[in-house]
Amino acid sequence: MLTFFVIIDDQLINSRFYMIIRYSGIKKFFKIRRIYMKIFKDRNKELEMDIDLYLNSLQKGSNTFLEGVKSYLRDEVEQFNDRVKQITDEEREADEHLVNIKYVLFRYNLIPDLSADLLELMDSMDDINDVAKEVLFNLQVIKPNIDPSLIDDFGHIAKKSNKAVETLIKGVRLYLTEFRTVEDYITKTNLFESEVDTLLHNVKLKIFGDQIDCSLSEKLLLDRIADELAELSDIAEKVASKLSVYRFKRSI
Amino acid sequence: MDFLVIGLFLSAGLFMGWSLGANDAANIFGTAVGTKMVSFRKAAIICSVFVIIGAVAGGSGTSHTLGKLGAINALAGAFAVSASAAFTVMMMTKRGLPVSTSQAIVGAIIGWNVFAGLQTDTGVVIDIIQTWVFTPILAAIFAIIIYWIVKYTIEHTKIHVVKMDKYTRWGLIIAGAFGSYSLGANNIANVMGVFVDVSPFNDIEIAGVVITGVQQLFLLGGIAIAVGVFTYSKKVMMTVGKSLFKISPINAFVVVLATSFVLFVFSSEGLYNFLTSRNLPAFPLVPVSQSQAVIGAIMGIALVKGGRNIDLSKIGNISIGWVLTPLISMVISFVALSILQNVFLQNVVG
Repeated sequence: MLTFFVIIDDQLINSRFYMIIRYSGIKKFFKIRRIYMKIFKDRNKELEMDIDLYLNSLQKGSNTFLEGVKSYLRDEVEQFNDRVKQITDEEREADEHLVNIKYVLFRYNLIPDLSADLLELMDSMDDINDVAKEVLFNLQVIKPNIDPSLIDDFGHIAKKSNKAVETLIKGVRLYLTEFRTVEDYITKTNLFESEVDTLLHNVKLKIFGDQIDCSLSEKLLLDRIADELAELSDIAEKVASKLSVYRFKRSI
Repeated sequence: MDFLVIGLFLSAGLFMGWSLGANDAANIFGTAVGTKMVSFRKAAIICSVFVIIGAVAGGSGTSHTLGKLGAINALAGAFAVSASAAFTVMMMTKRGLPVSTSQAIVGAIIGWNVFAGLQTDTGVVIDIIQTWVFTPILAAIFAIIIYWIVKYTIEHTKIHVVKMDKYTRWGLIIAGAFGSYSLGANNIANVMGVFVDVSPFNDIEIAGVVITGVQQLFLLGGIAIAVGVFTYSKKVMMTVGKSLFKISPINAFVVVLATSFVLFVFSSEGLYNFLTSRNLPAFPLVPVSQSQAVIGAIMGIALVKGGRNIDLSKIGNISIGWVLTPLISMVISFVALSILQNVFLQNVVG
């Protein structure tokens, strides 16, 4: 239906008829056209696209977080700074999409039955990019000195956290279309989160053990950085548990 | 006859129509409007248009059955019967008792038969009672079938949640239009059925199309229903959508469609002729209770979902209504006819 109107509209704009009425001073035509555009613009499609772009931004943010942490651990300063800039842009981009999603949902009263769930889901996912940005910013500002024996552990935590987020985003995409299979992704997200917890525990044992030779304040700082790296997986787990509820609500 | 007198006698039927529009439109669009899937304005316009179409185009079958039950041959008698049914519905609703306009009107007609000393056709009565009992059962069966189809479609197609919302809205609008048509076709007999044999209208011809007196009567009834929809149904819709039957829009679509099918099969002359011409058992054309069909459909869905939330008292309430409503209405009708004849000196039996 929409395609039909778009074709008609394009043909109208390019036609001689359009030129005649345009220059014959029929201003009303433009008014009618504006109204027609307002009526037939497919807000559902716009919302669908915004959700998709928002999830893409979150995915990109999580990947940038991983690459940024890797760069920091490898001491690649230039690349790391690029990642910080990148995540700032991605976080802004995600925020813009989230605002659009909220606007379209409220302004055009789309999916009234599920809008609260969808908004809650999207809103809680916004923390992913916020936390990812915060971690990279903290690394840039605090510049913690990470002991070489901990580099792999920190890298693993970041990798698994990224995996948890990646799996969650896949699950959310499925919730929007094929909600029956969402449960698999929720389970996987939880699995990655518990792996991160194990890694975090082990790294904490190392930090506060005798192997690492540094002051208590430095140890506490490393502990905090490890916690921050693991926070992404915690967010993923929280969102996954919400998703599990919303999945049931979607089944008729 | 004086225009004012005709208006006064028809007022009982018009009140029934208004009441039907105010209450039953909520069964069709209640969830859709209550959950803001469809705006009230849109729902009211669709409902009104299709109720009128259903009443004028498909209302004769059920009215004919009521005519077979008791051919009321005096306008004052028809007024008393209709007013008694309306009063019964009002009184029972106020006391929170289960009630249906279809059952009230049947009781009132039997009351007229008793008053006039005419034999009531037991065959027709049995047909009508069987239909009442069968209505919620059939609604439940339809709801189960539609529910399975919808569930399978949703679970086996990758429809985006946003698109699903769009389709649900359209589904609610289309099912609502069908439901309104079926309501008009089936329940117009409750509104104007008793006036059919004493219709004060003559056939008129507009642009070569003849509109019979009965069709004009049904049009008037349809308009009364539409007025009920516009003036009072919003309040009822909000109550239905938000508190009483709190069901999801997709389940509401199933319920409305199942209910509409039930009302349709009990009012479609086309279907009746199609089945009887092939020597197949046909659905009798009887006005049925839409609210009871809705309860049946909701129970059907509850049954498919495991039957955990079925409120068995609702079934009991329905059965009480089958007996209580016609009985009360019959007594009120008899008393009203006596008063009208003996106090107001009106000719209630032709």
